[in-house]
Amino acid sequence: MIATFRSAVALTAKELQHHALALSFIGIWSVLMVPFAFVIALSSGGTSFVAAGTGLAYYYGPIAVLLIVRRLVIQEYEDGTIRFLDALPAPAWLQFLVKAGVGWIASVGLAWLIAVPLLLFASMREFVTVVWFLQLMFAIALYISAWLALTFAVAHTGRFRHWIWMVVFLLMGSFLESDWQTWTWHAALGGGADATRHAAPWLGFAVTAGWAVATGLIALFLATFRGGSLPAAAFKSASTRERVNGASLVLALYLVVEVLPEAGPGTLNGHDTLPQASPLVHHAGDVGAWPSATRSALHDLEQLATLDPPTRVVLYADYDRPDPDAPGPRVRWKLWDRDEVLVRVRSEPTVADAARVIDAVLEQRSAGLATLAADRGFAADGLGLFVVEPANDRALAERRAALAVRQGLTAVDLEDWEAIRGRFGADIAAGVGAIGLTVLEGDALGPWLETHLLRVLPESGLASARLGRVNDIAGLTSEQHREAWWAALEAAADRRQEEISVIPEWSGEVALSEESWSNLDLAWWVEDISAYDVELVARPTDPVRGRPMTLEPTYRALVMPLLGSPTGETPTWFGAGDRVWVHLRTWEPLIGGWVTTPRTVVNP
Amino acid sequence: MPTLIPRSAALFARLSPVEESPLTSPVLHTEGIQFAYGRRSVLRGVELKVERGQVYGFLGRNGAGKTTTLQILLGILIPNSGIIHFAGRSVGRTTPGMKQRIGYVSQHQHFYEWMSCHRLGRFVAGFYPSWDQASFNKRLHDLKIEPKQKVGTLSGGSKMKLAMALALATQPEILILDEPTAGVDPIARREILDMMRTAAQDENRTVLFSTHNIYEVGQIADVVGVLHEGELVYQGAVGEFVAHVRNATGEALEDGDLEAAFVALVVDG
Repeated sequence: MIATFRSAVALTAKELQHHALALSFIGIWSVLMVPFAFVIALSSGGTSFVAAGTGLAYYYGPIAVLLIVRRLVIQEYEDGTIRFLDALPAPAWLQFLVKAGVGWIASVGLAWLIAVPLLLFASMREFVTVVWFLQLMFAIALYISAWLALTFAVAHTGRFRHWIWMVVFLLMGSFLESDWQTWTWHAALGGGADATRHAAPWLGFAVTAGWAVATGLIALFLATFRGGSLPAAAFKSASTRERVNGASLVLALYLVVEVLPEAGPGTLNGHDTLPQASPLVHHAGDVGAWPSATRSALHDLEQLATLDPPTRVVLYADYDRPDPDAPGPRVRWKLWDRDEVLVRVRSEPTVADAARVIDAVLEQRSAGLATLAADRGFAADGLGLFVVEPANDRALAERRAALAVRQGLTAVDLEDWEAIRGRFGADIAAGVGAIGLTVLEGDALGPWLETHLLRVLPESGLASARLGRVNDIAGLTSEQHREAWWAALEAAADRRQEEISVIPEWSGEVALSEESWSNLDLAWWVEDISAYDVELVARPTDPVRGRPMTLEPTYRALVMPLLGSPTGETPTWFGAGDRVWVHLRTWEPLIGGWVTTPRTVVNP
Repeated sequence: MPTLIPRSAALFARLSPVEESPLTSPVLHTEGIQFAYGRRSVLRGVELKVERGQVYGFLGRNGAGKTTTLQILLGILIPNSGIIHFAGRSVGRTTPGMKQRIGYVSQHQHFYEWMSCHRLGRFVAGFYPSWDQASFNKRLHDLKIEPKQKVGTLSGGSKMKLAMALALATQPEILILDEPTAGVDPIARREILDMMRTAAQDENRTVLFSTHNIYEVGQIADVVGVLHEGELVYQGAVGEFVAHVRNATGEALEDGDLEAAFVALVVDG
């Protein structure tokens, strides 16, 4: 055992010393390719740093492997030094393992040398979490290991290796252009790195690992069978010209088959896999400074809301916020993807502040609220519920019961609030301050109801383009079908009443869940709360992994001054202390597809 | 008594039958070694017996199978059949542990030319627990080889001497040399033969060397084995080689004329 260890140490030291210079050159070459990939990633609108980093390792790694194995194995046979090694008291398997180990460290190290800088940059820009980073590094190592094992096996076939490579590359070219690539050793990376953001490609890992093990065993067999006599017989002395021709053939085949058709890691377009919805948490600073900050922030949100097709801004109550234990005071917004933007506003002011907030709402909306509450059609359908309520749902239910407010239609005004205070005292009042607008199932919103909305709500409050369009048809529909609507309304009212009675949030026993809001379908106007106040401290969260996403100070300090705004021509996405760049993804019915639009929210 | 081994019944019908080996407790003994490259049979039942402290000259024409035999003894090649007895062990293939007790000098040196002589010694030392660095340094000095000199800049003769120094520094029980004097100048040849002689006489090492130069066998060998077309056709004391060939073949051979005896055995015989 000791002798074997000593032999392994001697062989390893020899390999490292023998190839140190060449590996250094390859390493420098590799490092020089990083800026190249960096520029490609930035200049191409569709290439993320993640895709560039892993793509470079994907394409360049095998070339490095070919060079390394040529030095480790083929050169040993061609120079005849394998005979010197064979005469030493070191078993063939030990020689193989040492060479394979050195080759693995060198190959994977070089691939990582390329990928790591780009992935680090990606982590500053594209929300690469530590787990995903490690997963990508693992995938690269697996992929390179499979290539190394295969190259070791082919290298031991001596003078037949060029023909074998030709067959391998031709088969590979066929596989990579079809679904079969999921069963080649490319599987771990072949689907594109960005696609693995959401889920690790375990099957791909297994397939690539299987290739690595299988070809590694074949290589071990070829190298050690009958003391290594197979490769010794397979190699013949070749002239320098023949060696160069053979190596050039292999390299050219690789480039033609794998690189040029871009059959590699997907489309290199990682944007589709990036988070499209970024919950933004805006911490409130000085409570006294709320109004102006809120106004500014909501103005930005209103801009988001006027996307075409319309992105709707909906306020909803605090009680379903996902992070109830987060420290306050704060206002939370949540931007949802697709064709709506859901804005959650929550505040935790003092009682006096809460009263001021309520006053501000009621001042603006009191007329509308009163009209809504009195409007039979609107009330019967249960749409458009204003609530100024405590955060505690159970208390809300009790409050409703105490006030005899009809279920399905709750319009709480200042009198209600005073009643709540009188009944529950300061404990309940301390949690008050939430402002919400709940809008129930969107498919119940027909033209007739929209007409009602237009009637009862001031037009100045309609920031939504959708409601604007409704305004255009209101005059026609409301007059022509008034009687029919009433008939339908009566029927719908009964049905609606039954539905509302089983809606959990009204029962006071089950908090409204996040999923309950997924079908919201009413545009709302952000001016309603534009008098409120927030200080933006953007901190996007990766929706897939649920972790905060931050823009690294290093990236901001080093890269942004050189490259300018990341939201220029290239759609990118950042989160920063003072700015947030988000992508909004909206459905464009004219083209029948999703449209990604960059928007900027600036911290005032 | 020498051992005279028939190559085949027809060819060596006139030779005396195989005699039992007079050698006792051989340090190296092979039984029925057969080897073939594909369908081409190279060795056919070779049975070497090398006694401790002997200088064994392994004689044969080019292509007779000498190098193949020695590479089998080194474990570089694996025989198709046969047994190797070495240092009390009987194996079908020489193990790394056994190789650590063998010093080997190949016919052609395939050292790493980027290494210095000193670095090469350090590399080889990693495989031999018995490595004697002082001995290696002294031999390099005696052979006028600069330790810092790159191996690639050495002449053929110097490489062979370096190989000798490496092999002897491992303190081997048996030193196996494959045509150690082929292609070297007379001075280097003499130095190499002196080293072989010293290893045997002063250091009590067993020396097995192959050659097709019968005069070298006469100069330093105690025992000669003649390999012809893969078969060991003679194995015995050098001093009795001529007489036995003369008796077996009927050729008129002068005493001491090893070359004529060798020719008579493998060509005329």
